[in-house]
Amino acid sequence: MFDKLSCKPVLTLLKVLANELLTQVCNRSDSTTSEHDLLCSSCSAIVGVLDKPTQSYKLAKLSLSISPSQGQPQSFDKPKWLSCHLLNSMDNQGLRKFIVTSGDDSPNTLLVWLFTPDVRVSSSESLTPEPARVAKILWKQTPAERQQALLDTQSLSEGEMELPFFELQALQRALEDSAALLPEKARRFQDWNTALLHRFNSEDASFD
Amino acid sequence: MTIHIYAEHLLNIRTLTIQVSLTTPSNAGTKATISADGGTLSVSHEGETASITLPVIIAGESAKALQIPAAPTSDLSFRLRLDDGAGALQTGQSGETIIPWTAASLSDQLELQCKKCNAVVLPRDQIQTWKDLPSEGWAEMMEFWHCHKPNEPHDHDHQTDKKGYSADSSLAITPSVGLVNATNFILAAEDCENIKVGHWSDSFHVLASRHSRHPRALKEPTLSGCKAILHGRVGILLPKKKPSGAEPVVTPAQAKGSLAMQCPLVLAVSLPDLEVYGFGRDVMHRYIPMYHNVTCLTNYLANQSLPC
Repeated sequence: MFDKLSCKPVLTLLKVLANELLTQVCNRSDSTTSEHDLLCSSCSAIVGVLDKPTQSYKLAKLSLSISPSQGQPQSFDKPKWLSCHLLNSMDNQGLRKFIVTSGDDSPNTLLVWLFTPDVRVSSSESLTPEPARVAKILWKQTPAERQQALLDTQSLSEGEMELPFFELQALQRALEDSAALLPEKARRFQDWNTALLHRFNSEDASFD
Repeated sequence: MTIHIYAEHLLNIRTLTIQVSLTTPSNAGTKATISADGGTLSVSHEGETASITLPVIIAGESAKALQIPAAPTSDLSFRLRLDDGAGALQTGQSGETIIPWTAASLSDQLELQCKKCNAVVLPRDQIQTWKDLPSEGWAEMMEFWHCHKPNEPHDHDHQTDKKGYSADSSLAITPSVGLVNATNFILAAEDCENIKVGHWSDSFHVLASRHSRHPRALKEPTLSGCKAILHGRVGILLPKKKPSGAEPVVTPAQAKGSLAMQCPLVLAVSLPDLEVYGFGRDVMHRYIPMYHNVTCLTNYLANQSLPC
């Protein structure tokens, strides 16, 4: 793997990334964002967002681990928190489809459909041999115009969900990465991408 | 692995679907068998065997060998009907959404740490009381209930602003009280430590407004393990040597210290996890571009199909 890293293709790809990043930045530079990220001052990982009206810290559980007074520190993989957020919204709003944005000026939005919220799967590509409890999700990227059109039609079948930008990125990455569990043929359904997000199990709910 | 097996147990319709992807079409020697205990599926094809633990134990009639279609195909799929009640007892899952770290499970003794570096962001004993926030959309429901109480004349004065759930009311944040919802903790700033406020795009805003027509010559950075390249206004760091053990050759802190002083933006690849990092002057962001993510990078590396 390493020998390949030092070759020209990586450099070319990084140049593409650099150009794209500049484009994204230019597109965002006029926007006014109401949220500011909270960064760990030790490693600069994003741990949450500043709630501007109250100047309080909104820390994301997916960026944290907890050390109870007794027992082992506990943390969970990001996909579990992301599925938890989607499933919680599904329960509260009675909806299965969500337009996920990171605010009004969101350069990128996802249309997420909780197709089968609770299913047990096994895959030979999984890192662990045990079957996993997942939510099967269909998703696609939606351009900003489409998003506006969806909201204008007052569609009752699609809810809106706003995530901080770093969580939206984490969601997209989790959706994309999980496709590796599926055989090639099962990764698309019509014009949707298929994804599997791991769900919390009952044993996750307590500290041991 | 050239044989990819995927199985899905749909509890409600008592069905197990199995999909198998082969690199070459199936033939007379291709076999798919379920173990005697009904817990494992093995697929053999052209001298190779792959197996998975099934998400549900297959008993009785279904447990015999799966019939491979006579016509050669590289995508096999099977659908098994399960006996009544199969799986429900085995999985023991009720289907409800489980939310860890709610107020009831938290104590004042706990400590919150950055998941990545374990830096303490909320010290022990800082929070005396944890409180669950109401579910999202509660304010709308309260307003509906307030305005449309059954058996009472409708009140159209809309005094919701006095009730604390109107659109312009905000949370009251009290130090030493921690508020919790499904995915966040909301804490007073003074209760936390090791947190700085920034925005990943702040430094890039500076970058976008600085138009440099002539890229500056880049000095050799002090970081010996890296090759530095200047691409337009963006610095690129590539690790030179093979990583030893789990430590990445380029750590975010190293890269930040070396190039960020010279360029407004630096992209770096860290090993062995192949994360792409973007560094600005004051903030570092693990940069996962929306369209070219790390999976993409890994795939490109594997295929070496990028034009140089």
